[in-house]
Amino acid sequence: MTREEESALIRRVLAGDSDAFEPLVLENQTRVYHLALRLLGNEADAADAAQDAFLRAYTSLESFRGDSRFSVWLYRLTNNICIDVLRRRKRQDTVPLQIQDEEGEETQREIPDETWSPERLAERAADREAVRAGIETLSDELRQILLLREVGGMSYEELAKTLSLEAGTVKSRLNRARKKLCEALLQSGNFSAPPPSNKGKGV
Amino acid sequence: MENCEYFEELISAAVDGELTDREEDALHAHLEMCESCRAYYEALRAISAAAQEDLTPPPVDFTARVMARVRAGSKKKKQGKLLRFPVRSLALAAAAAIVLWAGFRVAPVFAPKGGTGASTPMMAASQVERAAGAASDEEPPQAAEENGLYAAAIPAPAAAPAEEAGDRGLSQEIAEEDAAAPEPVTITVREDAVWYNGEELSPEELEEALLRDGAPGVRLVDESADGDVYAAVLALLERLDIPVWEE
Repeated sequence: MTREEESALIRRVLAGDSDAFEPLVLENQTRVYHLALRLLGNEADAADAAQDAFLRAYTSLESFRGDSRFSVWLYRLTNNICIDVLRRRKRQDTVPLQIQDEEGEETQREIPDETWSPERLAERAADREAVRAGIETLSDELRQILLLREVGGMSYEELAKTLSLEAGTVKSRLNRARKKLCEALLQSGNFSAPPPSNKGKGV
Repeated sequence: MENCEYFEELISAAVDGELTDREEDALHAHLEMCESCRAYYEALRAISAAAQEDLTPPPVDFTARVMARVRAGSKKKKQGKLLRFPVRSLALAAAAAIVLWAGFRVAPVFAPKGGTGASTPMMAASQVERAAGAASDEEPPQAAEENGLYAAAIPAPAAAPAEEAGDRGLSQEIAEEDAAAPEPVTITVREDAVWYNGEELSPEELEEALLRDGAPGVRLVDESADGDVYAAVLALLERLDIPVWEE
């Protein structure tokens, strides 16, 4: 869908033609849902959040100014809804989850010199399942920025705006998320430990 | 390789296509000589590809469900115009709503007996100040009076005439309700929170509170600027089948 087609549809919706909203849903639902799923971790919550995002988009479409892409605006709504859900979950938890704050999040594991040992890391990074599981181990904050970037395709500027961060923080936080993810991948590899032979990659 | 940390950040930005030309040159020079950073670069590219390709589609009926809600909502939206307050008086409207409710809680309008009746207006007045202050630092009480809403809010708890424009819906409902019947509640919508009878709740807590209290209807005050939360509250009320009392 081109940007022109998109804004034509938006104009029709604003003029009262609610059917014109459907192509906008179809165009964006996979990423919106996927973003919610990876942020929230289960399908029921993700479907609710994704639906909420579209309904909010629909009811507040007037406030969408065409200066950002419609998809980015949607991801922003999705992100906000999901963050609400995550906050609420945290409040409900009597036992606090391991709270990792931004700075205090240093690894206990010293990854020795072979840190990014080429073969291991490349192998793990190409394994989608492992990457997905690795993303789940990230703190909410790191997962959020990584997903908005990878799934939402947001630029650094859009990330800064969405998350109310300085541009420099966007850059460093994204790198921190990825570094964590690499560490998680290497560590998870130690458990499932497929010998580094030329065994075919199933799945 | 001491400045690898610096280059790791550049690597991450390179994967996102967010490097300046100069940074790109510097990174290339470094990658020539640093095997560890090359590995990191390859890993990040692979991770990025994996994360971007690996999309989970929504449930099959997702579009249909969204569109059903959209179509149901668009009818409601047309009727619902009156629910919105003019932007300038939002904070005041919110304050007024809270005060109205607080007043009723302490002493129902049509039973102003003994000491409670006397204390209510004072309490309400102090609450209107606090609520208005909390809602908008920029809106002094004078502005409120110009809007006419402030004035309407104050007399309400003290045996105010129910015909008074601003509070008609709520006070009439209360007057007509049996004392034991469940009462309508006031929900004030802000940017990131909702107020439910003067208590700040998250949207999820709101749902619980509504289910718990079994309110027969809701008086809805929109104080949010972009309408997102407001829309969510409307959607929630619709889902729970709780009517909105219109003005």
